[in-house]
Amino acid sequence: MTKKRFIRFGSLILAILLILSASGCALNSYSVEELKAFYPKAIENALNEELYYWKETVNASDHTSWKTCNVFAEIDKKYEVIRDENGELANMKVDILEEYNKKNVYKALCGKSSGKNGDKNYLFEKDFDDAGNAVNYRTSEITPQAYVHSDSFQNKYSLNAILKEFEYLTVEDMIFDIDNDLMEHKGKTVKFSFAVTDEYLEKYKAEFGESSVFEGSKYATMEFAYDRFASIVIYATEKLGGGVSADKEIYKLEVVYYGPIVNIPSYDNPEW
Amino acid sequence: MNVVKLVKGVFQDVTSHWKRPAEGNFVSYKEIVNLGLGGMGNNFTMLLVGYMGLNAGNTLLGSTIGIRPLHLQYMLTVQTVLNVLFFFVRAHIVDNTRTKWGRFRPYIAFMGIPLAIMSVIFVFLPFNTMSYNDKLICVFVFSITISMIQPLFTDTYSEIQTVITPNSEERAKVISINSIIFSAAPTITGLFVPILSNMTGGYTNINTYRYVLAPVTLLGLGLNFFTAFGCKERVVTSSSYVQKVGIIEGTFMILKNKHWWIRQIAGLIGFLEGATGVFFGWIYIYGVQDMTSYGLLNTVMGTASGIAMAITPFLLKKLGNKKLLVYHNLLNIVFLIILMFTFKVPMLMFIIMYMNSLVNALSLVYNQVMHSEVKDYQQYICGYRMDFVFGLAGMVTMPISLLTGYVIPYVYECFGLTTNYDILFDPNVRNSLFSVLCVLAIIGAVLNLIPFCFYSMSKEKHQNIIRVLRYRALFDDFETGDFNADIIKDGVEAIRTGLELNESPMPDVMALKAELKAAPKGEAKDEARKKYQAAKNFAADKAEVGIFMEELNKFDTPLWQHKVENARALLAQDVNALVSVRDSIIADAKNLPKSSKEQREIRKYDIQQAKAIVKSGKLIKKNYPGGLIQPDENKVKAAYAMPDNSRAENKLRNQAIKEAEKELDLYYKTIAPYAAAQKLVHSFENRDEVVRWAESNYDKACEIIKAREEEESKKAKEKKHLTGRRSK
Repeated sequence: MTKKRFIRFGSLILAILLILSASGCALNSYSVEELKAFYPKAIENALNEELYYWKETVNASDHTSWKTCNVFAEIDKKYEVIRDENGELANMKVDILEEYNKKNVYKALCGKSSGKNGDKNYLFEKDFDDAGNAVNYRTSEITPQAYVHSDSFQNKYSLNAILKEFEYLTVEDMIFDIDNDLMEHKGKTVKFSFAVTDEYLEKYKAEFGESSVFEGSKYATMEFAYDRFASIVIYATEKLGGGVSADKEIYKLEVVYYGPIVNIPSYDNPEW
Repeated sequence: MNVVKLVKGVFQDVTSHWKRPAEGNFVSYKEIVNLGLGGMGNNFTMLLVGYMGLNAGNTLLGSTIGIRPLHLQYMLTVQTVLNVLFFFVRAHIVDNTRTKWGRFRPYIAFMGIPLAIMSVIFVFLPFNTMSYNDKLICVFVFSITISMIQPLFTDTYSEIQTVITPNSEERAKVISINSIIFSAAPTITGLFVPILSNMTGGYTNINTYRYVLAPVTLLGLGLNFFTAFGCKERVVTSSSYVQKVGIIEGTFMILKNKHWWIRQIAGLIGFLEGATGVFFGWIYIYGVQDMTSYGLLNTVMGTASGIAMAITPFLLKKLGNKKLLVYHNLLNIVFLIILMFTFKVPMLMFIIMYMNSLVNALSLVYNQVMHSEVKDYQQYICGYRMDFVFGLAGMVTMPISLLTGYVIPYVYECFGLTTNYDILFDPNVRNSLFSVLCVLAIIGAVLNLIPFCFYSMSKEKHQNIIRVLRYRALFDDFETGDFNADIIKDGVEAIRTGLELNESPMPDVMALKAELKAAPKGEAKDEARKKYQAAKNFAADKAEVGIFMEELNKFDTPLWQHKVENARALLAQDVNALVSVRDSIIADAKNLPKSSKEQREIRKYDIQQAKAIVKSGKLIKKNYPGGLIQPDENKVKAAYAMPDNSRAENKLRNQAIKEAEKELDLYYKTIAPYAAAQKLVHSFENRDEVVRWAESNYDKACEIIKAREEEESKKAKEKKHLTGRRSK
């Protein structure tokens, strides 16, 4: 083999190796033991985030609902959140939307609003009638920082409220030996599926006085990205008739930790 | 003043030929405008339909509906495999469409309707409350169905441009005017759709697809009728039978073409090169979130390919194909490296991506040139001109393309981009993913460049291949008795220049280089440089003339003498004798000596021949159990001469042509080695006679061509004069 041919052959091999290594985000298996240590940390990391954008879908037998909440603030060129002299997030904004049975029912926006009398912090709220028309416009002067600390927000829209059950849930409450078993670690993501024990469902009801989101479920798939909670989809068995059944998504929650830009209307416009 | 004159001239030309085309032409300006408006309709219709394409960069299926990148790739795999089957189904449907509107116009008029309806229904599905599996099923059903039908709409529009006129010069003019008209559609949508999407929540909100894109798609349906009703198909078909190469046989021939392989491998291993393609859209959708700027920059981005197409011919002339390709790939690597450090600043990212897309668009032209070179090389090595089969041969590497297609979606998922594309709003997540995509794109660009280092088709080599093809064309015309002035002129000149080049002494390039270095500045230096350059070009030409000389003297080589000897032995028997040939001839051929290169070549040829002869014997038994009957070639001519005035007559005529050609196809396929032997012996026996015949007809051919050119020039002058008088 001549030197030239050898170089050519070598570069071809190098090309193949490069391609293999480039595509070599090797699939790593993940163990329950690893998950035991990782799960509470991932939930804790999520709850430590000040900014988030979550989307929740409920597909119950008697209704469907779709809710989103975006707690947004400006970031600097280094992608760090900007804080004012009090250590509060600068130019913070909140955007909430609720839909029930495929119809809008509630919309809220909170943040700095411009108007004739300069910039002011407002919470804008409105409801929707059955025909989908916006009604019952309300405005209250409140800073977004104060709003996110208020009980009305904390109890319903905060990440603490939305992740409450998953914070309470432990790996010990999970059953991994199921039909749709999945436990994988791919780069920055960890994805696994599980069912919950009956004891957990009883324990939850006793503790909080309400049914768990896992009530009536068959299994769930949870995903973490960048060491934080990313999503959960809960499935139940749906009977289609004739002895045929399929998995139905009864609950879905997706969270990211920086959402889209929120635009706040002018307080001069009463029907925003 | 010149500009005013030019504008006036164009205006006069357009108004005087608005309804009636100029003499010698077929297409009026009104028809070109109709074609362009239909093209706009095609583009508008495809605006929403195009979002049914299965890829993770697709903001409808990915960002808005939330289908996992890997699931999109799984569906794409199914779609690609199904498309192979549907390719033939569609080809059969279109080939058998013979309406009074022609073959393509019915599809242009109506196929947009189901596509638009399906895509509009799709975007109005209640995705917010649908389960992931339901979404997946909907996307699968709609996307696959649309992709199977879509080519009937888009490809037929491309095809009508090729049959709108039989005049190739006019066709080029029609296509270029048409591209100016219809490209208004993507310019308009590229600018206004992002701006309007501000009102509907941007590209990640389903309302943008429902209330901005869907109306544009429906508007397009109306425009399609301009082409359907306002254009004509003008097909000219040959009335004599041309021997065909089977699809499978042709594919195997292409697999022996090294230049084709180099291009295929470059595409296969360079699949990562496009990893940064999503940057522009994703940075503006998830980062900047300003759809007005996005719309404006999108329009600016569109100018890159126009500029590239305008400068490519000059660059090709200056650098040649291979050098341009290497420079393009090197610049691509440079821009990708710069992009890796600048993509966080949107405007810088845009500038680099603009430059990169300009450089990448150079390939739109030189790839066509390369493809033609590869086709010429194919004809040189196998003796047949193949066009359609290249597309099929490309499917050989399809499984690898399908596998490599999983790499980018897999990387997306490794970086958290699964069902919730909103993760891209987070700049830290976005930037870490984009950095990796940049690295992958650089690797892809480097890998893409490596195979082209093996691409040895130089300009000089290609010239000699063309010389060989022109020389061979003389044999075909001599055999059929045709007199084609161009073929005779080109063939004779190919022989003359080839021989002259071969016999001329090789210039001393080194000495001329030394002279150039020693020459004093000024005229002497320029003169020396010219001499050196001319000598270098001549030396490069001469270095490759061996290709032509090999062809010219091929019958003097032992291999070709052996081929002729074998062919004569085969022809000494009746063609029916092929039936009784024993299979053992293959084993006999395999037992031939193979110690020297010459012996190995002869052995290889004999094995191929033996296999072909045995196969031919079997085919005779199968296709002609009662004995071989040669079909009458005049049947094809008679079928073409049949009346074609009514629908019934057209049907009868097409059926007769099809049947006559089918008979001949079967016959020549059955006796393939025998027919090849006849051609070979004929070429050998007449090799000197062919050259003499061509030489003796050279002057006549030149006169015919000169007269034709004078006639054309006279017409052009008259046309110019007429336009000038009218403008006065």
